[in-house]
Amino acid sequence: MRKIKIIFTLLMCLVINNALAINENDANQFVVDIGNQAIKILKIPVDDKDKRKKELQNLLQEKFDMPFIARIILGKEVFKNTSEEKFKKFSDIFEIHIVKIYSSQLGTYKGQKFTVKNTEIKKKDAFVYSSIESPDFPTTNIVWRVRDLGKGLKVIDMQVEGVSLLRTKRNDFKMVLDSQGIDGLIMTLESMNQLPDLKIPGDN
Amino acid sequence: MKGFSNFFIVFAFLFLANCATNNNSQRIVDKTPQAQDPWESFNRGTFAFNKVFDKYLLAPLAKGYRIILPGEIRKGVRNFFSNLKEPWTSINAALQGDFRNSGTSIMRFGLNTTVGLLGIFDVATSLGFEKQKEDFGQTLAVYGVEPGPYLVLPLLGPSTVRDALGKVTGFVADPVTIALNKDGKENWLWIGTAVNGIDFREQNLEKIDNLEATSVDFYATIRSLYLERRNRMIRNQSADEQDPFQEFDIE
Repeated sequence: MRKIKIIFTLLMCLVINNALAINENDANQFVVDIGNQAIKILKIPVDDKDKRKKELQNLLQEKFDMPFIARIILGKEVFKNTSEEKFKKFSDIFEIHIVKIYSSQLGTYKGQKFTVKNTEIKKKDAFVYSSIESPDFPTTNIVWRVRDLGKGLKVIDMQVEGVSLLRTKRNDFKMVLDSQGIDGLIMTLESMNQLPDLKIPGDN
Repeated sequence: MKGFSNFFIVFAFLFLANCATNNNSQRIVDKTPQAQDPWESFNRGTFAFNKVFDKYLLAPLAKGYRIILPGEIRKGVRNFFSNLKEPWTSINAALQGDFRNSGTSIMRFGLNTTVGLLGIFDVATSLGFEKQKEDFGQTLAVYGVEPGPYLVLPLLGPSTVRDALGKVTGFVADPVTIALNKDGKENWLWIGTAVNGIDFREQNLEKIDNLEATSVDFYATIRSLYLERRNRMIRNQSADEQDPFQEFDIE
């Protein structure tokens, strides 16, 4: 009985903590779906900012592991010393912050074509290589880092033209985190989230 | 059997302990050379100056440029200036030992200058000669010159010591610059640089403004973007050839 308990605990531990193996085709299809959803968002009229934001938030919640991303961005030390409640607050505010960033940077639909090129599995992650081709702008390359932490496939980072979302945000938050801690960062993000909607590129 | 059972318990204990640690220690292993920014306070000062310059001169000019000239004409102007950079790109690609790209740039220059009417139309891309950009900063990197400290240049923006040296060399050694200097038309260089700057700002009006509005620390964001993007350009690999997270792992 004791042994069964241990085996059961071990299995639970494996399920909870270890990333699950990823199938290349699944990861590929997962990113294709993200691309299709993103194109749909681009096609929403720019005047309907609320709908754009809502759809983007849905996309983030469905396809991105936002609490995990928020945790990595805070870093080990800050996360360790943050209560669950405060982390939840930060995670929610951070999500709104990301929605604000991408709803303002995503632009409008001008014939962009999203293509998934190939997928590589490395350790516990899938790296999905994609591009956005546009008649008016140079091609943008995006690499998606996908992991399954027991909640299905989720994006844990994306790299646009060599620039990682995770790393950029970590650097962006570093000074405030160092000087004012997580409370200062939460306050700053809260006030930034209150700012009026930004102008969308291509909305001339 | 008892021994096996004990071994199992010890193993389970170790594993659980490991799991418990992992639960709170998922962390980033970031092996990318960290931004060396020993002159941060000086750089922040220059950055603030550049922001004022942008607010009161560059951004308004870029907005005016967008209003006055239609998109197609702006694209032609952009192509024209971009074409003038092809010889310098070709030289740098050759210095880096990349003769294929060097040849591509020469072909682009030849095609766009003739068929593309002095570079106004980018016919080379549609013929399969993809545009690329190689500068002397990248060449120095290929020869093992380290980037040195991060440096914000007045008016020109983010750089490193190596890239700044590359820029200065570009100003002096670019064949187009040499040709203009030889003909006593050095004023055109400044005009060209100014138009390029205005055009870049016009293309990125909302993007840069939005980036600032959504950054907690705009200086750090720009530094991060510049260094990462530059790093990728220097590695000179296409997105599907490189492992983007090889130096940046989440455990």
